[in-house]
Amino acid sequence: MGIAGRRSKPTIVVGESNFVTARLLVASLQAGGWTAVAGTTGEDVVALIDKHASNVLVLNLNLMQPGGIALLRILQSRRLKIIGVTNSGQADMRPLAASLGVSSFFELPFVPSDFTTQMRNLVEHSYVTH
Amino acid sequence: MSLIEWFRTMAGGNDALVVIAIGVVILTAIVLALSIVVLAHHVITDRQRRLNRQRFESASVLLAPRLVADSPDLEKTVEVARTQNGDRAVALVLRRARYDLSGPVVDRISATLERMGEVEKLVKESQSRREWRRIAGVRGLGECGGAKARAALVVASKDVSGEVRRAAREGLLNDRSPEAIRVAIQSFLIDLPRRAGWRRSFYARLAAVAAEELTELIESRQLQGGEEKLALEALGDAGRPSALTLALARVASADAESRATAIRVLGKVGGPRELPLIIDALDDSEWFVRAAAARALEWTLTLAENDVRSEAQDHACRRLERCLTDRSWWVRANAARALARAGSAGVEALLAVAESNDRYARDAAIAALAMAPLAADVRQTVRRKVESITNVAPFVPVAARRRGDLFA
Repeated sequence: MGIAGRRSKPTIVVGESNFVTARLLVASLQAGGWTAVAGTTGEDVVALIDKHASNVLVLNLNLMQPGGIALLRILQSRRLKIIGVTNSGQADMRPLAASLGVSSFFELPFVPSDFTTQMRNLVEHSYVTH
Repeated sequence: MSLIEWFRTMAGGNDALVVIAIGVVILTAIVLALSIVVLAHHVITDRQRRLNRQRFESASVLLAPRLVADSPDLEKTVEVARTQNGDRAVALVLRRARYDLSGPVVDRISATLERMGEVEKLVKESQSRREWRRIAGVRGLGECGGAKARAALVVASKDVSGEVRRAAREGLLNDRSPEAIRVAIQSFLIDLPRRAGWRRSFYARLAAVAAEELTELIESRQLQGGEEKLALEALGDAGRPSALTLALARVASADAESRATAIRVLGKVGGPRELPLIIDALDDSEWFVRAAAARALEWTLTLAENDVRSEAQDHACRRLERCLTDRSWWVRANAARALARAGSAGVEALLAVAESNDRYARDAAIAALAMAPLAADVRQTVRRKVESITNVAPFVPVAARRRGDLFA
Protein backbone atom coordinates (compact mmCIF):
# COMPACT_ATOMS: atom_id res chain seq x y z
CA MET A 1 0.00 0.00 0.00
CA GLY A 2 1.44 3.35 -1.03
CA ILE A 3 1.55 6.55 0.96
CA ALA A 4 -1.75 8.46 0.79
CA GLY A 5 -1.95 10.58 -2.33
CA ARG A 6 1.15 9.03 -3.88
CA ARG A 7 0.72 7.51 -7.29
CA SER A 8 2.04 3.96 -7.53
CA LYS A 9 2.53 1.97 -10.73
CA PRO A 10 0.10 -0.90 -11.14
CA THR A 11 1.21 -4.51 -11.47
CA ILE A 12 0.83 -5.46 -15.11
CA VAL A 13 -0.43 -8.92 -15.94
CA VAL A 14 0.82 -10.55 -19.14
CA GLY A 15 -1.28 -13.29 -20.77
CA GLU A 16 0.91 -15.19 -23.23
CA SER A 17 0.99 -18.95 -23.79
CA ASN A 18 4.59 -19.15 -25.00
CA PHE A 19 6.89 -19.13 -22.00
CA VAL A 20 9.82 -17.34 -23.70
CA THR A 21 7.59 -14.65 -25.24
CA ALA A 22 5.95 -14.12 -21.85
CA ARG A 23 9.36 -13.72 -20.19
CA LEU A 24 10.45 -11.25 -22.89
CA LEU A 25 7.32 -9.15 -22.36
CA VAL A 26 7.72 -9.25 -18.58
CA ALA A 27 11.40 -8.34 -18.84
CA SER A 28 10.55 -5.40 -21.16
CA LEU A 29 7.99 -4.12 -18.66
CA GLN A 30 10.39 -4.55 -15.76
CA ALA A 31 13.04 -2.64 -17.70
CA GLY A 32 10.45 0.15 -18.06
CA GLY A 33 10.04 0.29 -14.28
CA TRP A 34 6.84 -1.71 -13.84
CA THR A 35 6.11 -4.79 -11.82
CA ALA A 36 4.88 -7.50 -14.16
CA VAL A 37 3.70 -11.08 -13.82
CA ALA A 38 2.79 -13.56 -16.54
CA GLY A 39 0.19 -16.29 -16.92
CA THR A 40 0.28 -18.87 -19.70
CA THR A 41 -3.45 -19.70 -19.70
CA GLY A 42 -6.61 -17.62 -19.43
CA GLU A 43 -7.33 -19.16 -16.03
CA ASP A 44 -3.88 -18.11 -14.76
CA VAL A 45 -4.48 -14.60 -16.05
CA VAL A 46 -7.79 -14.19 -14.20
CA ALA A 47 -6.18 -15.52 -11.00
CA LEU A 48 -3.24 -13.11 -11.35
CA ILE A 49 -5.51 -10.11 -11.98
CA ASP A 50 -7.45 -10.97 -8.81
CA LYS A 51 -4.32 -11.63 -6.77
CA HIS A 52 -2.55 -8.40 -7.73
CA ALA A 53 -5.71 -6.27 -8.08
CA SER A 54 -4.28 -5.29 -11.45
CA ASN A 55 -6.01 -3.01 -13.90
CA VAL A 56 -3.55 -3.35 -16.79
CA LEU A 57 -3.31 -6.41 -19.01
CA VAL A 58 -1.11 -7.34 -21.96
CA LEU A 59 -2.96 -10.14 -23.72
CA ASN A 60 -2.01 -12.32 -26.66
CA LEU A 61 -5.29 -12.87 -28.49
CA ASN A 62 -4.16 -16.45 -29.20
CA LEU A 63 -4.13 -17.36 -25.51
CA MET A 64 -5.77 -20.69 -24.60
CA GLN A 65 -8.04 -21.97 -21.80
CA PRO A 66 -10.12 -19.87 -22.30
CA GLY A 67 -9.15 -18.25 -25.60
CA GLY A 68 -8.11 -14.59 -25.84
CA ILE A 69 -11.48 -13.34 -27.12
CA ALA A 70 -13.42 -15.44 -24.60
CA LEU A 71 -11.20 -14.06 -21.84
CA LEU A 72 -11.92 -10.50 -23.00
CA ARG A 73 -15.64 -11.21 -22.69
CA ILE A 74 -15.10 -12.53 -19.14
CA LEU A 75 -13.05 -9.47 -18.18
CA GLN A 76 -15.27 -6.93 -19.98
CA SER A 77 -17.01 -5.73 -16.82
CA ARG A 78 -13.72 -5.06 -14.99
CA ARG A 79 -12.76 -2.02 -17.08
CA LEU A 80 -9.12 -3.01 -17.47
CA LYS A 81 -6.62 -1.20 -19.67
CA ILE A 82 -5.64 -3.82 -22.22
CA ILE A 83 -2.96 -4.03 -24.90
CA GLY A 84 -3.59 -6.80 -27.43
CA VAL A 85 -0.71 -8.82 -28.88
CA THR A 86 -1.23 -10.31 -32.33
CA ASN A 87 0.88 -12.27 -34.77
CA SER A 88 1.15 -11.14 -38.38
CA GLY A 89 -2.03 -11.90 -40.32
CA GLN A 90 -4.37 -11.61 -37.36
CA ALA A 91 -5.48 -8.02 -37.89
CA ASP A 92 -9.03 -9.22 -38.51
CA MET A 93 -9.36 -10.00 -34.81
CA ARG A 94 -8.76 -6.36 -33.89
CA PRO A 95 -12.23 -4.81 -34.29
CA LEU A 96 -13.84 -7.50 -32.14
CA ALA A 97 -11.05 -7.28 -29.56
CA ALA A 98 -11.30 -3.47 -29.57
CA SER A 99 -15.03 -3.64 -28.99
CA LEU A 100 -14.32 -5.90 -26.00
CA GLY A 101 -12.04 -3.38 -24.36
CA VAL A 102 -8.60 -3.65 -26.00
CA SER A 103 -7.22 -0.10 -26.19
CA SER A 104 -4.24 -0.67 -28.46
CA PHE A 105 -2.40 -3.44 -30.28
CA PHE A 106 1.11 -4.43 -31.17
CA GLU A 107 2.43 -7.14 -33.40
CA LEU A 108 5.17 -9.71 -32.92
CA PRO A 109 8.12 -9.43 -33.55
CA PHE A 110 8.47 -6.38 -31.28
CA VAL A 111 11.06 -3.79 -30.31
CA PRO A 112 11.12 -3.73 -26.48
CA SER A 113 11.56 0.07 -26.25
CA ASP A 114 8.57 0.66 -28.59
CA PHE A 115 6.49 -1.69 -26.48
CA THR A 116 7.31 0.11 -23.24
CA THR A 117 6.52 3.48 -24.87
CA GLN A 118 3.13 2.13 -25.93
CA MET A 119 2.56 0.81 -22.43
CA ARG A 120 3.53 4.15 -20.91
CA ASN A 121 0.99 5.93 -23.11
CA LEU A 122 -1.68 3.48 -22.04
CA VAL A 123 -1.14 3.43 -18.29
CA GLU A 124 0.08 6.97 -17.68
CA HIS A 125 -3.39 8.08 -16.66
CA SER A 126 -4.41 4.88 -14.94
CA TYR A 127 -2.03 4.72 -11.97
CA VAL A 128 -3.85 3.69 -8.86
CA THR A 129 -3.91 6.35 -6.18
CA HIS A 130 -3.87 4.78 -2.74
CA MET B 1 11.08 -82.12 -8.12
CA SER B 2 11.27 -80.00 -11.30
CA LEU B 3 8.63 -77.41 -12.18
CA ILE B 4 7.28 -79.56 -15.04
CA GLU B 5 6.90 -82.60 -12.76
CA TRP B 6 5.10 -80.41 -10.22
CA PHE B 7 2.69 -79.24 -12.94
CA ARG B 8 2.16 -82.83 -14.05
CA THR B 9 1.34 -83.87 -10.48
CA MET B 10 -1.07 -80.95 -10.10
CA ALA B 11 -2.70 -81.75 -13.45
CA GLY B 12 -3.15 -85.42 -12.51
CA GLY B 13 -0.85 -86.56 -15.34
CA ASN B 14 -2.78 -84.75 -18.07
CA ASP B 15 -0.07 -83.48 -20.55
CA ALA B 16 -2.39 -81.02 -22.35
CA LEU B 17 -3.17 -79.22 -19.09
CA VAL B 18 0.55 -79.05 -18.30
CA VAL B 19 1.29 -77.37 -21.65
CA ILE B 20 -1.50 -74.83 -21.09
CA ALA B 21 -0.32 -74.09 -17.53
CA ILE B 22 3.29 -73.57 -18.66
CA GLY B 23 2.09 -71.27 -21.47
CA VAL B 24 0.07 -69.18 -19.02
CA VAL B 25 3.06 -68.84 -16.71
CA ILE B 26 5.37 -67.79 -19.55
CA LEU B 27 2.86 -65.23 -20.92
CA THR B 28 2.28 -63.80 -17.44
CA ALA B 29 6.01 -63.41 -16.98
CA ILE B 30 6.33 -61.62 -20.36
CA VAL B 31 3.42 -59.28 -19.55
CA LEU B 32 4.92 -58.48 -16.16
CA ALA B 33 8.33 -57.80 -17.65
CA LEU B 34 6.85 -55.55 -20.35
CA SER B 35 4.78 -53.66 -17.76
CA ILE B 36 7.90 -53.01 -15.72
CA VAL B 37 9.75 -51.80 -18.83
CA VAL B 38 6.87 -49.48 -19.84
CA LEU B 39 6.54 -48.13 -16.30
CA ALA B 40 10.27 -47.52 -16.03
CA HIS B 41 10.28 -45.83 -19.45
CA HIS B 42 7.38 -43.61 -18.43
CA VAL B 43 9.04 -42.62 -15.16
CA ILE B 44 12.37 -41.88 -16.84
CA THR B 45 10.92 -39.88 -19.79
CA ASP B 46 8.56 -37.99 -17.51
CA ARG B 47 11.47 -37.05 -15.27
CA GLN B 48 13.53 -36.11 -18.31
CA ARG B 49 10.67 -33.98 -19.68
CA ARG B 50 10.27 -32.16 -16.38
CA LEU B 51 14.02 -31.62 -16.17
CA ASN B 52 14.09 -30.26 -19.74
CA ARG B 53 11.18 -27.96 -18.93
CA GLN B 54 12.95 -26.71 -15.78
CA ARG B 55 16.15 -26.05 -17.74
CA PHE B 56 14.22 -24.26 -20.48
CA GLU B 57 12.36 -22.06 -17.99
CA SER B 58 15.48 -21.33 -16.01
CA ALA B 59 17.35 -20.34 -19.19
CA SER B 60 14.41 -18.10 -20.23
CA VAL B 61 14.35 -16.31 -16.89
CA LEU B 62 18.12 -15.78 -16.98
CA LEU B 63 18.36 -14.60 -20.59
CA ALA B 64 15.16 -12.57 -21.14
CA PRO B 65 16.28 -9.37 -19.30
CA ARG B 66 19.60 -9.34 -21.22
CA LEU B 67 17.87 -9.96 -24.52
CA VAL B 68 15.34 -7.14 -24.21
CA ALA B 69 18.03 -4.74 -22.99
CA ASP B 70 20.44 -5.85 -25.76
CA SER B 71 22.85 -6.03 -22.84
CA PRO B 72 26.65 -5.95 -23.41
CA ASP B 73 27.03 -9.00 -21.17
CA LEU B 74 24.56 -11.09 -23.20
CA GLU B 75 27.26 -13.44 -24.50
CA LYS B 76 28.66 -13.95 -20.99
CA THR B 77 25.17 -14.71 -19.65
CA VAL B 78 24.62 -17.19 -22.48
CA GLU B 79 27.75 -19.05 -21.37
CA VAL B 80 26.46 -19.14 -17.77
CA ALA B 81 23.07 -20.39 -18.99
CA ARG B 82 24.75 -23.10 -21.11
CA THR B 83 26.70 -24.34 -18.09
CA GLN B 84 23.61 -24.34 -15.87
CA ASN B 85 20.95 -25.55 -18.29
CA GLY B 86 22.67 -27.16 -21.25
CA ASP B 87 22.92 -26.16 -24.92
CA ARG B 88 19.51 -27.52 -25.93
CA ALA B 89 17.53 -25.32 -23.53
CA VAL B 90 19.60 -22.22 -24.30
CA ALA B 91 19.31 -22.75 -28.07
CA LEU B 92 15.52 -23.11 -27.84
CA VAL B 93 15.25 -19.88 -25.83
CA LEU B 94 17.51 -17.95 -28.21
CA ARG B 95 15.68 -19.23 -31.29
CA ARG B 96 12.31 -18.18 -29.93
CA ALA B 97 13.68 -14.80 -28.80
CA ARG B 98 15.03 -14.17 -32.28
CA TYR B 99 11.57 -14.88 -33.68
CA ASP B 100 9.81 -12.55 -31.18
CA LEU B 101 12.24 -9.64 -31.03
CA SER B 102 13.13 -6.97 -33.52
CA GLY B 103 16.11 -4.61 -33.61
CA PRO B 104 19.89 -4.98 -33.40
CA VAL B 105 19.77 -7.77 -30.81
CA VAL B 106 18.59 -10.30 -33.43
CA ASP B 107 21.99 -10.25 -35.18
CA ARG B 108 23.72 -10.95 -31.88
CA ILE B 109 21.37 -13.85 -31.23
CA SER B 110 22.14 -15.29 -34.68
CA ALA B 111 25.88 -14.96 -34.08
CA THR B 112 25.55 -16.64 -30.68
CA LEU B 113 23.59 -19.55 -32.15
CA GLU B 114 26.29 -20.04 -34.79
CA ARG B 115 29.03 -19.98 -32.16
CA MET B 116 27.18 -22.55 -30.07
CA GLY B 117 27.08 -24.98 -32.99
CA GLU B 118 23.27 -24.94 -33.12
CA VAL B 119 23.22 -23.79 -36.75
CA GLU B 120 25.68 -26.51 -37.77
CA LYS B 121 23.51 -29.16 -36.09
CA LEU B 122 20.36 -27.90 -37.82
CA VAL B 123 22.10 -27.68 -41.21
CA LYS B 124 22.93 -31.39 -40.88
CA GLU B 125 19.31 -32.13 -40.00
CA SER B 126 18.12 -30.12 -43.00
CA GLN B 127 20.19 -32.43 -45.24
CA SER B 128 18.71 -35.64 -43.82
CA ARG B 129 17.16 -38.25 -46.12
CA ARG B 130 14.03 -38.27 -43.96
CA GLU B 131 11.53 -35.59 -44.83
CA TRP B 132 10.34 -35.00 -41.24
CA ARG B 133 13.91 -34.40 -40.10
CA ARG B 134 14.53 -31.96 -42.94
CA ILE B 135 11.35 -30.06 -42.03
CA ALA B 136 12.40 -29.86 -38.38
CA GLY B 137 15.92 -28.76 -39.34
CA VAL B 138 14.70 -26.12 -41.79
CA ARG B 139 12.16 -24.75 -39.30
CA GLY B 140 14.92 -24.48 -36.71
CA LEU B 141 17.23 -22.73 -39.18
CA GLY B 142 14.45 -20.26 -39.92
CA GLU B 143 14.52 -19.24 -36.27
CA CYS B 144 18.32 -18.88 -36.15
CA GLY B 145 19.05 -16.30 -38.85
CA GLY B 146 22.59 -15.42 -39.96
CA ALA B 147 24.58 -16.13 -43.14
CA LYS B 148 25.11 -19.85 -42.58
CA ALA B 149 21.44 -20.56 -41.85
CA ARG B 150 20.40 -18.36 -44.77
CA ALA B 151 22.61 -20.31 -47.21
CA ALA B 152 21.07 -23.59 -46.01
CA LEU B 153 17.56 -22.14 -46.34
CA VAL B 154 18.24 -21.02 -49.91
CA VAL B 155 19.20 -24.62 -50.74
CA ALA B 156 16.13 -25.93 -48.89
CA SER B 157 13.84 -23.60 -50.84
CA LYS B 158 14.49 -25.92 -53.84
CA ASP B 159 13.87 -29.15 -51.89
CA VAL B 160 11.78 -31.91 -53.49
CA SER B 161 9.29 -31.74 -50.61
CA GLY B 162 6.71 -28.92 -50.75
CA GLU B 163 6.55 -28.83 -46.95
CA VAL B 164 10.32 -28.29 -46.70
CA ARG B 165 10.19 -25.56 -49.35
CA ARG B 166 7.39 -23.82 -47.46
CA ALA B 167 9.32 -24.00 -44.16
CA ALA B 168 12.40 -22.64 -45.96
CA ARG B 169 10.45 -19.67 -47.34
CA GLU B 170 9.07 -18.85 -43.87
CA GLY B 171 12.60 -19.09 -42.50
CA LEU B 172 13.93 -16.77 -45.20
CA LEU B 173 11.25 -14.21 -44.32
CA ASN B 174 12.22 -14.45 -40.64
CA ASP B 175 15.83 -13.80 -41.66
CA ARG B 176 14.62 -10.36 -42.87
CA SER B 177 17.76 -9.65 -44.97
CA PRO B 178 17.11 -8.28 -48.50
CA GLU B 179 18.70 -11.34 -50.12
CA ALA B 180 16.62 -13.77 -48.07
CA ILE B 181 13.42 -11.84 -48.85
CA ARG B 182 14.23 -11.85 -52.58
CA VAL B 183 14.82 -15.62 -52.63
CA ALA B 184 11.65 -16.25 -50.60
CA ILE B 185 9.54 -14.20 -53.04
CA GLN B 186 11.08 -15.91 -56.09
CA SER B 187 10.51 -19.35 -54.61
CA PHE B 188 6.93 -18.43 -53.70
CA LEU B 189 6.10 -17.15 -57.18
CA ILE B 190 7.31 -20.28 -58.99
CA ASP B 191 5.75 -22.59 -56.43
CA LEU B 192 2.46 -21.01 -55.30
CA PRO B 193 1.09 -23.08 -52.40
CA ARG B 194 -2.28 -24.58 -53.30
CA ARG B 195 -3.97 -23.61 -50.01
CA ALA B 196 -5.17 -20.01 -49.78
CA GLY B 197 -4.41 -20.04 -46.03
CA TRP B 198 -0.71 -20.75 -46.70
CA ARG B 199 -0.56 -18.01 -49.32
CA ARG B 200 -2.32 -15.57 -46.99
CA SER B 201 0.13 -16.47 -44.23
CA PHE B 202 3.10 -15.81 -46.56
CA TYR B 203 1.78 -12.38 -47.58
CA ALA B 204 1.01 -11.50 -43.95
CA ARG B 205 4.54 -12.33 -42.85
CA LEU B 206 6.01 -10.55 -45.88
CA ALA B 207 3.94 -7.44 -45.07
CA ALA B 208 5.18 -7.55 -41.48
CA VAL B 209 8.90 -7.90 -42.27
CA ALA B 210 9.31 -6.45 -45.79
CA ALA B 211 6.42 -4.15 -46.70
CA GLU B 212 8.47 -2.35 -49.38
CA GLU B 213 9.22 -5.57 -51.22
CA LEU B 214 5.56 -6.61 -51.07
CA THR B 215 4.50 -3.19 -52.39
CA GLU B 216 6.97 -3.55 -55.29
CA LEU B 217 5.63 -7.03 -55.97
CA ILE B 218 2.05 -5.73 -56.22
CA GLU B 219 3.10 -2.77 -58.37
CA SER B 220 5.03 -5.05 -60.72
CA ARG B 221 1.71 -6.73 -61.66
CA GLN B 222 3.29 -10.18 -61.28
CA LEU B 223 0.39 -11.16 -59.05
CA GLN B 224 -2.88 -11.90 -60.76
CA GLY B 225 -6.46 -11.37 -59.54
CA GLY B 226 -6.93 -13.25 -56.29
CA GLU B 227 -3.22 -13.16 -55.44
CA GLU B 228 -3.06 -9.38 -55.75
CA LYS B 229 -6.12 -9.17 -53.53
CA LEU B 230 -4.52 -11.32 -50.79
CA ALA B 231 -1.28 -9.34 -50.97
CA LEU B 232 -3.02 -5.97 -50.76
CA GLU B 233 -5.18 -7.11 -47.85
CA ALA B 234 -2.03 -8.25 -46.02
CA LEU B 235 -0.44 -4.83 -46.51
CA GLY B 236 -3.61 -3.20 -45.18
CA ASP B 237 -3.78 -5.57 -42.19
CA ALA B 238 -0.20 -4.65 -41.34
CA GLY B 239 -1.21 -0.96 -41.51
CA ARG B 240 1.45 -0.08 -44.09
CA PRO B 241 1.07 3.41 -45.66
CA SER B 242 1.77 2.03 -49.17
CA ALA B 243 -1.49 0.06 -48.87
CA LEU B 244 -3.39 3.36 -48.99
CA THR B 245 -1.88 4.42 -52.34
CA LEU B 246 -2.48 0.98 -53.85
CA ALA B 247 -6.07 0.89 -52.57
CA LEU B 248 -6.87 4.37 -53.88
CA ALA B 249 -5.66 3.30 -57.33
CA ARG B 250 -8.14 0.41 -57.30
CA VAL B 251 -11.17 1.92 -55.60
CA ALA B 252 -12.84 2.83 -58.90
CA SER B 253 -11.69 -0.32 -60.73
CA ALA B 254 -14.02 -1.97 -63.23
CA ASP B 255 -13.35 -5.25 -61.44
CA ALA B 256 -15.74 -5.49 -58.48
CA GLU B 257 -13.40 -7.82 -56.52
CA SER B 258 -10.66 -5.17 -56.74
CA ARG B 259 -13.08 -2.48 -55.58
CA ALA B 260 -14.15 -4.58 -52.57
CA THR B 261 -10.52 -5.23 -51.58
CA ALA B 262 -9.62 -1.57 -51.97
CA ILE B 263 -12.56 -0.49 -49.79
CA ARG B 264 -11.66 -3.01 -47.08
CA VAL B 265 -8.08 -1.74 -47.09
CA LEU B 266 -9.26 1.88 -46.89
CA GLY B 267 -11.20 0.94 -43.78
CA LYS B 268 -7.95 -0.22 -42.19
CA VAL B 269 -5.49 2.47 -43.29
CA GLY B 270 -7.66 5.34 -44.54
CA GLY B 271 -8.14 8.75 -42.92
CA PRO B 272 -10.88 11.40 -43.04
CA ARG B 273 -10.22 12.03 -46.76
CA GLU B 274 -11.01 8.42 -47.65
CA LEU B 275 -14.20 8.28 -45.59
CA PRO B 276 -16.49 9.60 -48.38
CA LEU B 277 -15.13 6.90 -50.73
CA ILE B 278 -16.09 4.20 -48.25
CA ILE B 279 -19.53 5.69 -47.61
CA ASP B 280 -20.18 6.00 -51.37
CA ALA B 281 -19.30 2.31 -51.80
CA LEU B 282 -22.38 1.48 -49.67
CA ASP B 283 -24.34 2.17 -52.88
CA ASP B 284 -22.19 -0.02 -55.17
CA SER B 285 -24.03 -2.25 -57.63
CA GLU B 286 -22.32 -5.41 -56.28
CA TRP B 287 -23.49 -6.74 -52.91
CA PHE B 288 -20.00 -7.81 -51.80
CA VAL B 289 -18.64 -4.29 -52.38
CA ARG B 290 -21.48 -2.87 -50.27
CA ALA B 291 -20.77 -5.50 -47.59
CA ALA B 292 -17.05 -4.61 -47.71
CA ALA B 293 -17.90 -0.92 -47.30
CA ALA B 294 -20.06 -1.64 -44.24
CA ARG B 295 -17.26 -3.77 -42.79
CA ALA B 296 -14.73 -1.03 -43.53
CA LEU B 297 -16.92 1.44 -41.66
CA GLU B 298 -17.05 -0.98 -38.72
CA TRP B 299 -13.22 -0.92 -38.71
CA THR B 300 -13.12 2.86 -38.92
CA LEU B 301 -15.72 3.29 -36.19
CA THR B 302 -13.83 0.88 -33.92
CA LEU B 303 -10.16 1.53 -34.52
CA ALA B 304 -9.64 4.93 -36.16
CA GLU B 305 -8.39 8.04 -34.38
CA ASN B 306 -11.07 10.00 -32.53
CA ASP B 307 -11.52 12.75 -35.17
CA VAL B 308 -11.98 10.23 -38.01
CA ARG B 309 -14.32 8.18 -35.86
CA SER B 310 -16.58 11.09 -34.98
CA GLU B 311 -16.66 12.17 -38.63
CA ALA B 312 -17.62 8.64 -39.62
CA GLN B 313 -20.34 8.67 -36.96
CA ASP B 314 -21.72 11.95 -38.29
CA HIS B 315 -21.79 10.91 -41.93
CA ALA B 316 -22.27 7.18 -42.03
CA CYS B 317 -25.22 6.47 -39.71
CA ARG B 318 -28.05 7.36 -42.10
CA ARG B 319 -26.44 5.50 -45.02
CA LEU B 320 -25.77 2.44 -42.89
CA GLU B 321 -29.35 2.52 -41.64
CA ARG B 322 -30.50 2.27 -45.25
CA CYS B 323 -28.26 -0.79 -45.75
CA LEU B 324 -30.21 -2.61 -43.02
CA THR B 325 -32.90 -3.27 -45.64
CA ASP B 326 -30.43 -4.36 -48.32
CA ARG B 327 -31.41 -7.55 -50.16
CA SER B 328 -28.10 -9.19 -49.19
CA TRP B 329 -27.86 -10.71 -45.71
CA TRP B 330 -24.12 -9.89 -45.53
CA VAL B 331 -24.74 -6.20 -46.18
CA ARG B 332 -27.49 -6.07 -43.54
CA ALA B 333 -25.38 -7.91 -40.96
CA ASN B 334 -22.23 -5.82 -41.59
CA ALA B 335 -24.20 -2.57 -41.57
CA ALA B 336 -25.81 -3.49 -38.26
CA ARG B 337 -22.39 -4.33 -36.77
CA ALA B 338 -21.01 -1.00 -37.98
CA LEU B 339 -23.97 0.87 -36.48
CA ALA B 340 -23.33 -0.90 -33.17
CA ARG B 341 -19.93 0.86 -33.14
CA ALA B 342 -21.38 4.26 -34.03
CA GLY B 343 -22.13 5.50 -30.53
CA SER B 344 -25.57 6.55 -29.33
CA ALA B 345 -26.71 7.58 -32.84
CA GLY B 346 -25.96 4.07 -34.10
CA VAL B 347 -27.63 2.37 -31.14
CA GLU B 348 -30.73 4.53 -31.57
CA ALA B 349 -30.84 3.66 -35.27
CA LEU B 350 -30.59 -0.04 -34.44
CA LEU B 351 -33.34 0.23 -31.82
CA ALA B 352 -35.59 1.99 -34.33
CA VAL B 353 -34.98 -0.76 -36.88
CA ALA B 354 -35.54 -3.42 -34.21
CA GLU B 355 -39.10 -2.08 -33.90
CA SER B 356 -39.75 -2.17 -37.64
CA ASN B 357 -41.78 -4.77 -39.53
CA ASP B 358 -38.83 -5.87 -41.65
CA ARG B 359 -37.87 -9.08 -39.86
CA TYR B 360 -34.50 -9.42 -41.70
CA ALA B 361 -33.44 -5.94 -40.64
CA ARG B 362 -34.85 -6.55 -37.16
CA ASP B 363 -32.79 -9.74 -36.67
CA ALA B 364 -29.58 -8.05 -37.87
CA ALA B 365 -30.21 -5.09 -35.56
CA ILE B 366 -30.93 -7.21 -32.47
CA ALA B 367 -27.87 -9.44 -33.06
CA ALA B 368 -25.66 -6.35 -33.45
CA LEU B 369 -27.10 -4.70 -30.32
CA ALA B 370 -26.29 -7.84 -28.35
CA MET B 371 -22.62 -7.52 -29.33
CA ALA B 372 -22.41 -3.74 -29.03
CA PRO B 373 -19.90 -2.30 -26.55
CA LEU B 374 -22.36 -0.50 -24.25
CA ALA B 375 -22.04 0.98 -20.79
CA ALA B 376 -23.81 -1.11 -18.13
CA ASP B 377 -26.75 1.31 -17.66
CA VAL B 378 -27.25 1.76 -21.42
CA ARG B 379 -27.07 -2.01 -21.82
CA GLN B 380 -29.88 -2.45 -19.29
CA THR B 381 -32.03 0.13 -21.09
CA VAL B 382 -31.36 -1.51 -24.45
CA ARG B 383 -32.11 -4.92 -23.00
CA ARG B 384 -35.45 -3.79 -21.62
CA LYS B 385 -36.33 -2.16 -24.90
CA VAL B 386 -35.40 -5.23 -26.96
CA GLU B 387 -37.35 -7.46 -24.58
CA SER B 388 -40.41 -5.26 -24.96
CA ILE B 389 -39.99 -5.33 -28.76
CA THR B 390 -39.58 -9.08 -28.93
CA ASN B 391 -42.25 -9.48 -26.26
CA VAL B 392 -40.11 -11.79 -24.16
CA ALA B 393 -41.81 -13.19 -21.11
CA PRO B 394 -40.72 -16.08 -18.88
CA PHE B 395 -41.63 -19.54 -20.19
CA VAL B 396 -42.75 -18.36 -23.64
CA PRO B 397 -41.34 -18.79 -27.13
CA VAL B 398 -37.93 -20.40 -26.96
CA ALA B 399 -36.59 -18.52 -29.99
CA ALA B 400 -37.65 -15.18 -28.56
CA ARG B 401 -36.26 -16.12 -25.15
CA ARG B 402 -32.89 -16.85 -26.76
CA ARG B 403 -32.87 -13.34 -28.14
CA GLY B 404 -33.38 -11.97 -24.65
CA ASP B 405 -30.62 -14.22 -23.29
CA LEU B 406 -28.13 -12.43 -25.48
CA PHE B 407 -28.26 -9.58 -23.02
CA ALA B 408 -27.97 -11.69 -19.88
